[in-house]
Amino acid sequence: MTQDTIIRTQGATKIYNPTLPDEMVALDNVSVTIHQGQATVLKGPSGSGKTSLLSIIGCMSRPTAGKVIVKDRDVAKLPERYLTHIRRKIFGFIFQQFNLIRDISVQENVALPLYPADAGFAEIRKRVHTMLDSFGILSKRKLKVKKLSGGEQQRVAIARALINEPEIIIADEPTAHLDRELAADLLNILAGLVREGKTVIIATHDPLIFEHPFVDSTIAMRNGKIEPQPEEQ
Amino acid sequence: MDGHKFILFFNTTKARLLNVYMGKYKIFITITALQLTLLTAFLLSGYQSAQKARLQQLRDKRQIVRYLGLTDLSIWTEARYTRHPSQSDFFTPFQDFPCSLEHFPAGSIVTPLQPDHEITMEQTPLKGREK
Amino acid sequence: MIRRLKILEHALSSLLRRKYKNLAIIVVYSFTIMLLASILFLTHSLKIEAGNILLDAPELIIQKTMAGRHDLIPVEYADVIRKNWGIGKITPRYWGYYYDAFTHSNFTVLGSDTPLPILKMLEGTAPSRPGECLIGEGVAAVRQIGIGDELILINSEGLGVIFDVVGKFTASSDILTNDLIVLGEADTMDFLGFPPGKATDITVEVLNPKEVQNIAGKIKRDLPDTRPITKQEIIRTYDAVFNWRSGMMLTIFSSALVAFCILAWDKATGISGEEKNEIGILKAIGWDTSDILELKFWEGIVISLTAFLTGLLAAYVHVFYFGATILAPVIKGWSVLFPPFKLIPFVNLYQVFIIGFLTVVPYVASTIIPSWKAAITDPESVMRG
Repeated sequence: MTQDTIIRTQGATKIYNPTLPDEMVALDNVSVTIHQGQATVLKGPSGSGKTSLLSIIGCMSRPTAGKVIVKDRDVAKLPERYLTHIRRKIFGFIFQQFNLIRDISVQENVALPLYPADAGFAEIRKRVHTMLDSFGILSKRKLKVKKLSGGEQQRVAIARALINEPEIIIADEPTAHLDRELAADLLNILAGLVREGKTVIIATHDPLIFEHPFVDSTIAMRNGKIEPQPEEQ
Repeated sequence: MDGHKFILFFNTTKARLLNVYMGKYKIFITITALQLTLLTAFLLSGYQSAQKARLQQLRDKRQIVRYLGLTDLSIWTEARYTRHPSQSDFFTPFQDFPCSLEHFPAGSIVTPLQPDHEITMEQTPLKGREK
Repeated sequence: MIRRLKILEHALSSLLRRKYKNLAIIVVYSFTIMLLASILFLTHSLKIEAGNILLDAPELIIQKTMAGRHDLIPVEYADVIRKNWGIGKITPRYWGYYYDAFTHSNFTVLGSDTPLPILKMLEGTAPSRPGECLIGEGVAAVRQIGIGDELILINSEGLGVIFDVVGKFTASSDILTNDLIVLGEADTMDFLGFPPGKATDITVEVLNPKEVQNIAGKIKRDLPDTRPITKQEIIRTYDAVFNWRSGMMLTIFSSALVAFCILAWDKATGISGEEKNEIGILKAIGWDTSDILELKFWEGIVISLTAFLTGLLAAYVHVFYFGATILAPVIKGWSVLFPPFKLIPFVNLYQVFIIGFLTVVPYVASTIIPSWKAAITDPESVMRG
């Protein structure tokens, strides 16, 4: 397993509604390092800043101050257009509520990340088929997402996250709405991705995840800060 | 095709159309292209028949105008100034229709009363020839 | 290009999700555009037709006025008019109106002894003997008579007069002849009760069309109680009439359009939380702000272009194939005799583009603009459910 750094934050700070009465410091001078090909877990209670950190790392928003270095490039000051591009090329997201478009078909949901990219219709169709097949939901491809069970929806969400072959998978509380069986399923999938050499970053407060053997390192957060690690892994 | 088969056909066609995956754009473009073609065809054939009409119909109509010395279109026959707008003067209210209330905004919205006393053919004596 | 098609594809998927609502919008929108386009098609075509037909109207018409009203003109006035240079034929016209109490319609009675040439639009002949008449299609229809039948009219003395119908104008000339009853000149004078030596007005042929205004001025000086009307004035009158009529209708229907725009605006600006969330999802999975705006652009185009083309096609068919059935009541007011519009399809492409511009652009704008804010927001919000 390589130890190359893929993402690094330096003094990343995120303040919502700065200078307004409801100003909120979500991240306070956070410096973390994520290694390539590893599974990293951000753990901590809700409101600890996990999601803010994930969204900064995943180029979904920019820090108020500090640096975010993704693959040797500081993305904190990049214009939005480039962030979108990086998001599309490098990241795959699995959200807490699957965040699927419920009224359109499974295959269209999975295909959506490819629409703004270069792929043609035939290629998209092929990739979506292959992807759905590997998750065992090919037969459901024409159904609307809202007709699927929770487990199936979760698979669609993962399929969508993987369709653009990202190097880094970001998952925010992925097991929050799943029963134990489905959660175990998901962890197996994530473990499989790590074995394939993908980098996986998970924010969670579910012990099931951070006690799972595939997790390489854990970062604990509280009140927008990194908690000192009790022991080195 | 009997009713059942038709409904079945209708439903499957509808389902096919709605579930087309990555081909809806083709349907939209086809429909738009068809509409554009139809519109162009209308406009072109309209232009052609307008040209033809210019030669035939208009020539005939112009002959009528010339021989009878007509000055106006017979579109609005309700009053003198609407039947012959080019012949009427600018200010006189023309009350040609019995009981008509004339003057623009009212006149074009309110219809005149039907007169109570009107002559019937039976009451009318004939001049010269026998009926 | 393929990227555009893919975004169009998703726009269509998106619209299909609310297919009944969007279909309803297309239907209402198409109908509004159909009305607007119909008005423009109809009035433009009428205007061109009037302009073309009336080119052969008399160069100059001299009316006598009396107490500020149109009065019968003494035929001797022709001798005064004749003294001017550059004048051709001078013809007194005998014509008037006839209110037909049996059908509640107004006819125009016109005296003419000029034999008409053979025309496709004329069945039978023009009257050549006393007691004969030639009628328009509208007169024939309301009186339910044809060639060979008798037309009974009541003269100014209250006596019924019988005319033999020897000719009929066909429907294709309706716009000119619908309410006409053409009699011989003597018959006309007798029937309408003209005093001897009086005519309705006098037409004057002017040899050099450039001299018309000049001659009209001279006649007005020589005969102060007359009013000359030039052909240009006639044609201008028709321009004005149709502009006025179409303007009036446009005002009414543009309020429909405005109402529709308000509806569209309301629909579009009330961008729902669901839609905002969707935009966030798309951004999160790698759609750029410009992709989102393009998506919204396509959504607007699909609806408005479809409605525009449908409305335009419907308007064309409505006006030129069905004689503007829906608009006819608005144009005709309450007249009993009303020519069916068998219009020659003169279409002004410029007007078509204007309709397109005024309908498609605002709709697309009202779809894109409200999404703007959601599209430029960081997609982070979708992570916070």
